[in-house]
Amino acid sequence: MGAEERLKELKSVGEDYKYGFSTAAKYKYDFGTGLSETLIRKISEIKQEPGWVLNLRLDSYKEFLKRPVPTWGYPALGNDIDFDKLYYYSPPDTQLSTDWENVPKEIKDTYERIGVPEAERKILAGSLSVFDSDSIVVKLRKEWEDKGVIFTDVDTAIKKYPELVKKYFMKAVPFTDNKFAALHGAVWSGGPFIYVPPGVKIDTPLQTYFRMNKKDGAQFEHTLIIADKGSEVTYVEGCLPKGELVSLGDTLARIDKLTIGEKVVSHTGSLQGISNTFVHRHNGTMLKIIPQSPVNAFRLTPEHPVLSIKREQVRTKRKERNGWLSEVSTKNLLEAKPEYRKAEELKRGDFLLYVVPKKTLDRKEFSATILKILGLYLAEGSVSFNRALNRDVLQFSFGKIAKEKKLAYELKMLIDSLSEKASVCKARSKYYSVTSYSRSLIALCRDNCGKEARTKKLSRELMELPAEKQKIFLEYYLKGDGNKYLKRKNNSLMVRASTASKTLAFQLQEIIGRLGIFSNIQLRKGGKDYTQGRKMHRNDQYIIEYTEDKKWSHVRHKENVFFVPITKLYKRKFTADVFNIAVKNDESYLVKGFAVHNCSAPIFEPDSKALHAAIVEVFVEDGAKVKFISAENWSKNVYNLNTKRAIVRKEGFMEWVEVTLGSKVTMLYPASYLRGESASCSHLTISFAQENTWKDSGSKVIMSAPNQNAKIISKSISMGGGTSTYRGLLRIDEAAKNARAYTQCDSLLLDGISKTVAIPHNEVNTPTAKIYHEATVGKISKEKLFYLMSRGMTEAQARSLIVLGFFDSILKEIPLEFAVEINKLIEAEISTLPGSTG
Amino acid sequence: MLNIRNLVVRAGDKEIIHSISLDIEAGKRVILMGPNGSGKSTLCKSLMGDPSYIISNGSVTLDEEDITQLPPNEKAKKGLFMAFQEPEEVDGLSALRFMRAAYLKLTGKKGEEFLKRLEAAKEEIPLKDELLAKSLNLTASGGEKKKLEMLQMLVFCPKYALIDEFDSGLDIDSIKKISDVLNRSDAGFLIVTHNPAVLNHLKADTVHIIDNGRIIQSGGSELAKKIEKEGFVWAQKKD
Repeated sequence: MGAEERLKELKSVGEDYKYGFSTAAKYKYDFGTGLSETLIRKISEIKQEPGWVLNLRLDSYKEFLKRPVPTWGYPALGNDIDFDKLYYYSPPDTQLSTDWENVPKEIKDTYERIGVPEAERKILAGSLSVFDSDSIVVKLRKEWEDKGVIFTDVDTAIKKYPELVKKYFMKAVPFTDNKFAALHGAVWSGGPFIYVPPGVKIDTPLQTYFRMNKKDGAQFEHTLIIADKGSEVTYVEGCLPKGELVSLGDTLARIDKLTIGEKVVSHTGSLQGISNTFVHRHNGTMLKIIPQSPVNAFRLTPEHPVLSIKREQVRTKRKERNGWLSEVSTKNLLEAKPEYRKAEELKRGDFLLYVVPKKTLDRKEFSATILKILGLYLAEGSVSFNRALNRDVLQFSFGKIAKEKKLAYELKMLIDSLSEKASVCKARSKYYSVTSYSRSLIALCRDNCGKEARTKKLSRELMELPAEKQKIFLEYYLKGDGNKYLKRKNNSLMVRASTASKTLAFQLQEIIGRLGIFSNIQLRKGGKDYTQGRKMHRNDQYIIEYTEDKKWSHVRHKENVFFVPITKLYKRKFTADVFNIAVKNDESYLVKGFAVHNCSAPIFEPDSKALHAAIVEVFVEDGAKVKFISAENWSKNVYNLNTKRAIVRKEGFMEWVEVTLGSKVTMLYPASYLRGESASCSHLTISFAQENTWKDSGSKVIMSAPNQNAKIISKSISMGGGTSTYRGLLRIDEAAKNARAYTQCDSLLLDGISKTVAIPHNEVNTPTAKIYHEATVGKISKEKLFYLMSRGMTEAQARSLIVLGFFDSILKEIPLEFAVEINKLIEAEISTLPGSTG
Repeated sequence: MLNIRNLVVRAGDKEIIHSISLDIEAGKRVILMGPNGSGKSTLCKSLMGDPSYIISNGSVTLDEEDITQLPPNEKAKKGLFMAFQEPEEVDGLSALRFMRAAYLKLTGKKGEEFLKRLEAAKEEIPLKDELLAKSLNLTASGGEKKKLEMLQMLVFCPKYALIDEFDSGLDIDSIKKISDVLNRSDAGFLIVTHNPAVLNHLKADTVHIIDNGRIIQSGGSELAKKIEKEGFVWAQKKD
């Protein structure tokens, strides 16, 4: 299957998409924030623009100052956007180049990460990249260049082809059109210029990638496409932010493996979904913080905020002396308000917050008997494959001493009481073993505790049980694996257990934490060893230790939080990728049990706002065909307010394919002005309204000459409480005899809290026009879900297949790498919906 | 063996199935017949885990493993399959893509393996490639839908299959062909049908007559002959 392979190949490109991070790119000039006539003159001067361009900028600026922010669409637009706080012009420190090799490394890194060069090499006839304000790389295959095709950026075009640009520039969208078009006219920078000479038909798409790198930035690229008589071109613009992949949940997942939609525990101990993931190159110091329990040590960048309490705030009167830390007042400590501090501000003796997850879910099937068996299994049991019997066997081994023998018989009794069979035998005079062949018991043990010593891990079900149930489980685990001894120093009863599984050690720490006790985890390094003269390899052992009666003297406890002092801090030089995640609601997550903030410095802050106010102008001359494909998936701090318009002459055909994902606010209505006889257009739009996003999009078609055709299809999906609005305008003038227009507006609601609104407006001024309108609002029925689930899909997978089906007709129209990206986004979004499993 | 013990099924407050017990052995075909509304489809759907129904009593075990309350996808993974009387349509999702996704989910095997299985299954039940490329069940005729369900069953290779009326809407040649496939299979089947004539082609090991949510008669294929002559009224009277 050729398509399958191509998809696979593109998937490998897709895997590398990681945006939403901000690289430390160097900018050529730094003008700071805010807009003024001086800045506009400066931009024009730097770009060495001719007078007409400067004048256009200044006129636009005057118009911008006069015009109010639109009051329709997104209601808080006027409040949200502070025009004084945006960076209007930030050209990267590089010249326009036609060679990828000449691009600065940071920029190349950014593009490498989002897979641009690969995609470009593989598919495109030409490609141009816009990095914040200026265009950087332009490539066009030589064969098209030889035929007179121009593909460059608008700035270059103004210099090289002034007459051509002057004829078309801001003629489809005049600066008087709206406030954001006026703003654009004043500060526009970069963007592609395409000219296709008469009769030339380009059979592979030309493509541009945009990326907004600066936080609180603004991007005003101008796209100008001129398809001369009888020519054909397909143009693709991709606006890419973050990579969003789905993976299965785990109790302790590596941060670089975490993906959007997964749930993590926040500093309040509740489960919160991940709303974004980030990665950036860190070159500098890395801090290692070692709390009282050394295995809980974690590393982070110095500026990463950590929830903490400074020792000096909560100490008693006695100060630090002779290397002893100051004494801490328990009362003060429990009353102190924890704050986020940069990791580099922390010192030895300061307190971190170890948070015990709050969620509990009782499951009846975990009876006391079952919990006892599981506890013993965790300590002494294993499942192994018996070759002779050709099946799995459950086995527990106990020592030869009387206490262990008693335990073995207790276990047999427990198993028997479940009407399952077990037998005890005294094997090779060394130990007692208990064996069971019960399939249900084997599955129970394996599913809840894992299979062998090093990979033992407790199931989510077990971790979520109420504390009193976990206590039974823990008690039996310790009967097997633990030992108790009296610590002479302070006469307290120590409990200690060891395991080869790191994950298990952390899980036990959490369970013990729920019982109100903080336990320490120490590491006993494994390696080569000798036992009774024989060489052997010992695994690393994690030793969990706590006192039942007195509790650790340095740790204080309040509700589900333990205040744990730092014992050591290390600094290291470090160059590698660092990872971070954004977490919904609480904006924090736990690293090895300790609370840290979810955002560090170089990443877009949640309240930063970026503006994208682009203009796209397309001129479709007589008999020409233009297909404009746009997939916009901006970061969730972006206000995406573009004006896209095509002027279509006699027998010309304009095709818009518009996919909008991401961004905070989208107001986007691609327009076709059908001016010539028999001109036609087709509009396809997909939009996703997610949590905290405002999607307001649609199409505008003006028909003003005889025998014209228009087809408008809009598909929207609303999820997570998002609202998607379709706003359409279809105007058929009196001169547009025999006009035909077809509009179809389908929406799909993924849950009960999301909304969809359709505001179609048709204005028909000729009786000879034929208009068809269809609209559907769909929900995913229980029956459909059941059918798909009966074929092995989880509910989430079933939903995403149905949703992908809904978009299928449109996904076929866009390049595969975007389809792959959209696919991932849908799956990620659906997996976060309440009620979805898997 | 698929064992159904004292199964009671409710939809909301209404009890639809009143304590039904059935055993389905591997390689055997258990036929379930009964008048309209007798609970045949409800039994199949609830066995497959349809969330519209609640199993309020009794148990379902598949090869000694209790699967009574598992969600449908887990049941499917344990080797249970259901061929639907009216399979759902999914616009934009091609039958091929759907089957492939399901196959990978169910078996954990690779795509190439799927294509092999599909080719083999198509030998048994010929279906046009165009149909597989089209939206799932959307434009298919009644008969094509049934064939597609059977094709899926052959591809997924379940241990036990619940077949809710494979014969309605099928032409006689296709009925023969599918009966032949079922006769040769080593999976265990619970086959629902209205039409006793199907048993001229399909080898029945056991026949149960269900009425009003209860099994009222059980026997061999002679039971079907009797129904063919005298209708369900006969069985209802006998009760």
